[in-house]
Amino acid sequence: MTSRQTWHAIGAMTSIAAAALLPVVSGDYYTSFGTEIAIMVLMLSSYRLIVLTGEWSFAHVVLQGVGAYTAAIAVKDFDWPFPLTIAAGAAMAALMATILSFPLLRMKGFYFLMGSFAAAEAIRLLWRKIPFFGGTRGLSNIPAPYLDLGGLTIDFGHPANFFHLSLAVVVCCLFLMWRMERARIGHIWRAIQQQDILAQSVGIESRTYRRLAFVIAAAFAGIAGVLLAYAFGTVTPNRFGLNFALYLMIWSIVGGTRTFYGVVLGGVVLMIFDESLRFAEELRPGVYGLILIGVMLFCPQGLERLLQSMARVLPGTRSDESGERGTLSRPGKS
Amino acid sequence: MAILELFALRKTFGGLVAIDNVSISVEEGAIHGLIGPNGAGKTTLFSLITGFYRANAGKVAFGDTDVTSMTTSQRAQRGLVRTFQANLLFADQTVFENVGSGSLMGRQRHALDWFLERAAHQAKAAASIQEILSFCRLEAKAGTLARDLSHGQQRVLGIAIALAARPRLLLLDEPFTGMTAREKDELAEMIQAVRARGTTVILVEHDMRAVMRLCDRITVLNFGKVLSEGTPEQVRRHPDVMAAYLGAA
Repeated sequence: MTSRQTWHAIGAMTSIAAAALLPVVSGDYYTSFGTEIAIMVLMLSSYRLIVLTGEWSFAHVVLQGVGAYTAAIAVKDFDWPFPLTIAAGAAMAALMATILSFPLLRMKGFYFLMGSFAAAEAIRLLWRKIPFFGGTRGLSNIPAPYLDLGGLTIDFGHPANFFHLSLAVVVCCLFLMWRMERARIGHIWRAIQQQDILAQSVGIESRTYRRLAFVIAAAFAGIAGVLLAYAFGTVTPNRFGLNFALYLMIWSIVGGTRTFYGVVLGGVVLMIFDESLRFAEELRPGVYGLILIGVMLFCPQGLERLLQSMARVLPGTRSDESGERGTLSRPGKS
Repeated sequence: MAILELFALRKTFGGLVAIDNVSISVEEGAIHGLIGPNGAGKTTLFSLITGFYRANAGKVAFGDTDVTSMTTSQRAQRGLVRTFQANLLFADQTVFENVGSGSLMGRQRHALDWFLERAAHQAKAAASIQEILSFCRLEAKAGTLARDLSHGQQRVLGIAIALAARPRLLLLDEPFTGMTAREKDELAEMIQAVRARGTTVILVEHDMRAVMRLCDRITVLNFGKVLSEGTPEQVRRHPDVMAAYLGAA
């Protein structure tokens, strides 16, 4: 393990440990807010898998919604336990993404973005119009997960317990995504993003791997949706609207998408910022616009660039302008 | 034995006939030149062979396989790999990573490695990349970003990426463009070494000295049609070729 990797590992472990202490040092309100941040971090990290292939999508939040609705129905109508709802949420979101990918991935760039918007709105319309999904009011009274191991019972309805459960799920998902990015599939996604034609010329079936990214990202978004359904106890179509899709995009850009931790950083910082603007709801879009313009002008690679600049002062670290590139490294370097 | 055979290929762009009834046979182990004036259809023919364009009519046979309906990547996985006229590279990756990206589909590994890379396979991949870098004399530049290389080095890196995909037939599109005399000599040596490794080469090039020096056979295209085909000496003396290049008297 290189010094840089050691610092990354120490940073990640410290962040997780610090996050786990949140319920100890704050009340229920901020603990629940911590759960929201954890879910948002999962959303942003999964969204980045699509960005890795060079695409931006408006459909990602709706695929989170598919996971949320799946969990809500599975719990309310079939009384499924938490682990099963996680699996079902991920599977349904992945299935929906697979179906959507066939028409959408015939397009690229701006056309893909517009296509994803149309697909997302169509799905939201179905949720609003079909009574099974609860119409515009959605589905409510989703019971919290409950664990009964003989003598030991844990009620995840308690904010601290659910926060720890969400944190554990999110950390596992982040670890899987991190490993994927450093494995062969991650290299293929980056190759497609950087030079699609060259990638095809060396045997990479671009559309297949773009589809894989879209579907895997959707599965993780589905898991985020399941957590969201439990966290709020309700699922409504409006929660997965265009506003949220735009914010997801803005937060990714502000955080930076070149490194794994960029979007995590963007999610945490902007969620806190968003919460601090709660007193002035109507100002939020304007403020976000200003932040976006500011980042584009003064820090076009996002907040991750600032973190990299700070990291340079640490012993044993080096400048890495192109971000994390996975494990394809020269012998003797890792 | 022919490794590549084109049967009556035709490609039109609207009313323009870019490739018209072209039939060519390329022998395995040969260096086959493809020359012609600007606009003759050489790069279009490359794109038809490698699947970037679909032919309006005709057939492309690679070895025993009809690849006409296959995608570019399917053809590349079978060993039909090309380079480009422009320096198409993974610009933000190092030279080492560029070659690694070229070999992503070629390495035989455990299914799990698609998602969770194992150290043993990383080492194997790294050794194979080092071998290609050494073959292309790019070892010293392994850690340099592709965008920071000189033009000549970028041309060579393009070939290194293609070699990493383990081609049986390598199509080089104007590899000598913009190179110094010394770089051209080194590249000519390298192309001969590629052939010596058992890879057939098709070379599109305007540098006639290099073409005549390297190629076993040459096909001359003009206005999308085959004007002449033969050994370098036969082609050099063909009156139609001289007329096409120098203008009819």
